[in-house]
Amino acid sequence: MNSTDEQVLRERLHEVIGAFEAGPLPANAVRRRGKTIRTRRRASTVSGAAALAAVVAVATWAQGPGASRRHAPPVASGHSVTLNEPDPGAPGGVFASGTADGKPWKLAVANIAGPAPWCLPAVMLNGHDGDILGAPTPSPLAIGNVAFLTEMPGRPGTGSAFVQVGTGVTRLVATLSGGLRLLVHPVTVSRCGQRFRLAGFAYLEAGATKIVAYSAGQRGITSVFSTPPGIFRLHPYQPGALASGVWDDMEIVGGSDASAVIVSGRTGGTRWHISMTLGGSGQCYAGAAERGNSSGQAQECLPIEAAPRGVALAWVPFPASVSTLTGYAGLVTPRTRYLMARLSDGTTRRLATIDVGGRKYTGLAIGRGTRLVRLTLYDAAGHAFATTTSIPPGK
Amino acid sequence: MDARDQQDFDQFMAGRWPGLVRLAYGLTGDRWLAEDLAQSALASAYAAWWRVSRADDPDAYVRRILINASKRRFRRRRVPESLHELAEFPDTGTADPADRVGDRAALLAALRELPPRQRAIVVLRYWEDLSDAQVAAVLGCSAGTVRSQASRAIAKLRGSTTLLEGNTR
Repeated sequence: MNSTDEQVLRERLHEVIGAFEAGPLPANAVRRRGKTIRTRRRASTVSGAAALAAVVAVATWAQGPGASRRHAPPVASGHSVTLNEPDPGAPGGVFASGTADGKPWKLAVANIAGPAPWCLPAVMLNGHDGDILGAPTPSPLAIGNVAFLTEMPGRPGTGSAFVQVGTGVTRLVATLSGGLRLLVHPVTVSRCGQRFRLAGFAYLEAGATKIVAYSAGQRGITSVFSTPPGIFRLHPYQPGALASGVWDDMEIVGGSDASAVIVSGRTGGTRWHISMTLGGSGQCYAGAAERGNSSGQAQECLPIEAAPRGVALAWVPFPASVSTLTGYAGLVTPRTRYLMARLSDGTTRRLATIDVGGRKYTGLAIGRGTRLVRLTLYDAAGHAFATTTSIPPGK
Repeated sequence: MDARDQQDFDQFMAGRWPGLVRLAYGLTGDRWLAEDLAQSALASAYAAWWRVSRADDPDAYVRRILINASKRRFRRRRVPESLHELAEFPDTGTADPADRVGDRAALLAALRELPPRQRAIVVLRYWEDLSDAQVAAVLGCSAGTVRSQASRAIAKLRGSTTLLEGNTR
């Protein structure tokens, strides 16, 4: 490397990047998106003395590190959760399990990407509602990401949490709301050529305020995670702000967003595109439109799911002030090569798929007055192998 | 977030938006993705403003969010990225002769041939003009790694016609 090369590169980059003009600042969209992230962290769905009393009955409470573990029976009234002893040899990548109001729950690491060579590890709750795992925690004694799922779907009043820790951490003590403490043992799970050390538990009311990590062979604390103030504070529910089934990841810098534009086009005088972001806010589809001097973006976030057998289609909003388009986007089975969309005006459109992290997505936007009627999926040989007329309604 | 924090964030956002979009453009070569990455980074900063605003270097913090998001996107994305938008939607407000569009696209394409970390180092070092220590802080590596990776990146780019053309211009 010599200084001439460096100088030339500097000049060329300034020419190319410097000539690029950013579009207008989407200040409202940034705030909305930020509020969605923040609101999810603050959202809490269960409160009250009954739930707090029920939390006392939760299994495996600890008085401190090394305390004996036990299972408590569900209480007669209110909600209850239990936590099973971790089984390092459990099949299917399960690292935590138990019951919530008598119904089983389990946390497991699964590959949510398509067939090999793709692999995208995610923590799944009962096979659904995924949270993409970042790289294994580099420091052996550290706590990495901590994630909360405010309400377990189908198990109202109970939440779930998992913690990613370094290889040297042998036990954790989570202090829950009300000061009760829970002893949890991490388990090592291998997926996608990586080894993740994870611990999980269920909780009532409002999650954990502090998680302390300990290592073997020493009584001392190796790492402490304190839940930032306000995250679980009760606040008025804002419709649309909380996507049920989306995890709250506490580690922002290590966020695991994967973004891609999955389809774009021009309809009338409107330039538009639909993008997909897979990460800390769940599975988010955003419709962006630009017409004249007006532009905007609207977004819909859903829980992260594994690849479906057919297509998991979602309605995608576009900014009403700019566009009257209706958007659809979705995850399709890896077998899909292309799709044919039948519209209510009798026309058909061929839809391409795009690979993002080994997951296949498709999308389309249609003008006002037209509806999507049917989607048919084709494989590489051109054979139709699935069709659906179950189209999500717009809002 | 109280009114004061809101005001501080709004000022931060307005001041950083063009720079973040350009940084993301250098990393992706794609207008839409650049704006989406910048928006995503600022939204994350908004959500954790109490933490970002107290950071020693909030700019480094937000750059790190953006670069992490970008790296993960490249790691997971297999489809070849298209540079058509450069020709289809030339940048506005800039006198940009048509014969330069392909030249610019070639430089961005050469950048995209680099591994994500080398690409980030090149853009941070030669576009953002950050010091090795600052780049290291953003990427979470040592200054020595920054220097060695920059050297490798330059060696790769030296082989591309883009850099040579720039050298002879």
